[in-house]
Amino acid sequence: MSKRQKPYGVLLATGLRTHQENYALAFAADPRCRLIAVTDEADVPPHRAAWNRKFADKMNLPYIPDLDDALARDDVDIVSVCSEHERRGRVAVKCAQAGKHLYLDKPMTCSVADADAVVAAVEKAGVRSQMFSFIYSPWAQSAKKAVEAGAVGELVAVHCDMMFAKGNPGTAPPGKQRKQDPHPTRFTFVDSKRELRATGVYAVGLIRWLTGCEVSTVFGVTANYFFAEHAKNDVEDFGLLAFTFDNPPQPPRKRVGNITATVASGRIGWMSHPQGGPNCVYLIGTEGTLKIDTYQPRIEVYADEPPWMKPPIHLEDPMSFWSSTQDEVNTQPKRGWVVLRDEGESSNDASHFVDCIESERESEMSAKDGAAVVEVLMAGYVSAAKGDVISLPLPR
Amino acid sequence: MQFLYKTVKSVLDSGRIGSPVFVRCVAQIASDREHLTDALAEVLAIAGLWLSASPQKVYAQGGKDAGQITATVHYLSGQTALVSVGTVKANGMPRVDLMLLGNKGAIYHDSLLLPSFAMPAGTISRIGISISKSLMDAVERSLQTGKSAIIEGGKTNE
Repeated sequence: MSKRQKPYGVLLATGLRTHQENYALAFAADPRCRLIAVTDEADVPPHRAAWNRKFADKMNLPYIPDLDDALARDDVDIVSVCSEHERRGRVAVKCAQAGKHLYLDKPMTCSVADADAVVAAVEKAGVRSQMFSFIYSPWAQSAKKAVEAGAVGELVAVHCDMMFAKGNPGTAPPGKQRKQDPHPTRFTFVDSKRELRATGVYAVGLIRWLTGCEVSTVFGVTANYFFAEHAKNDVEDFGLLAFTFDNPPQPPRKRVGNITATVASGRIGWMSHPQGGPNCVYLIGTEGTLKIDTYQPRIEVYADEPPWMKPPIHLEDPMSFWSSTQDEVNTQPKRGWVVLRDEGESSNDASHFVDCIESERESEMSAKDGAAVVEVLMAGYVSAAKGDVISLPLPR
Repeated sequence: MQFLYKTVKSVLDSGRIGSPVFVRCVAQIASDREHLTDALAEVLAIAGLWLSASPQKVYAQGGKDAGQITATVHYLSGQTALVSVGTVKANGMPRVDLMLLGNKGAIYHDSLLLPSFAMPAGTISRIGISISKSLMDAVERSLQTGKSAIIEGGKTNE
């Protein structure tokens, strides 16, 4: 792909009721970017087309109802791909084949085959790619610096908790072990997400990035602890992963040896955490242990004001997945914890992608990394179904 | 640990967080690498009592050489636990980080344990908690094979 002049034109593939609501704002906030249009595949269902049009109107952008037409425009440099999970891989491949840089919602695809196809398309087209993650957030950067500085000595274990405190729990049938499908194919529901994937993706990506190692074995458990909606759809609301690593291919620091890692991920209910949910990583080393938490350092505020109340249930988004639906039911932020932030720190993931494009370097969470994360997550489902440890790579 | 155990138990017994479903515990409480397994056994015993559940399967990682042991436990009625134990580090202060999820709430504990709150390894029986030999046998088997191990009998207390 030829190097273009700024501002970079950003095309938004799929609109309202996806994470595009957030990514579009992130690109719009970067002065190096200009939003071009909202688009989607020509044959999307009417309700999806209507949401796309509504989003285009909200953003004061045109809606181009055929992705092929939008990709033919030469003022489009980057496509932010937030299409539903089941068709995300197909859309991403088409965008890469058109020579556009790819900014990808997480998880990148629903299957290892789709992930491989995206990586192949990106490499063939020579475009840049990045899957949304938390690695550019200040707390993740702190964790990386700590590992690289040897703050805990040689790393022997990493544990990551990544959960969202949303939804109204206590309705799932109690006392049952979940029977997991080893190869789930449906991922998009109005009222539930496969939470091992949806939240575990952050943790797996973070741990892989922190250690610089490839996962070699995966043990997974999925569960239905909280929500009747998830149980009804045969979708887990909670998941665990435990994995081991290959040694790093090129040692940037001391050999890590038999490093191990675990992940706890899920959706645990509005009132189960003083903020957005447990988001932290434990770095266990030969010389010490560090817990790095997205809500640390912080101040805590207690005041003579009404306590935080969970929002009313939005009938079209009962789990509060999307910013727009949260706004529609007037969801208020939890204000008791106020995290200390350096105003010079940037946690705009989209801007880091633009940095990569400008400096012609690979993102630290490229499509290739996204594919590796997808493989770990899918191995987690196979493990949860079989009850045993699964070795990677998965059969192709 | 005995104070933490009893305090958490009292909150669970009150029903405030609903039915306990998941325990995450990262603890630096073993005096040295030789006592890692003892420390793990004690935390797992406590976790089982908090969850009121019998363990069915365990996957363990690490070991004496690694300086830490991590166990993923799946219980008969669906609950789970992730327990990681290591040695007390240079400052000599034991540390226990705990997250216990109920189906309607959560308990968090995140701090150094003052010496008066810490419990020397091997003293758990003083507060009426028994170590599960079958669970710890399964932990050993999992560490040796690199695979998950079924807990024979599926009982927490023997």
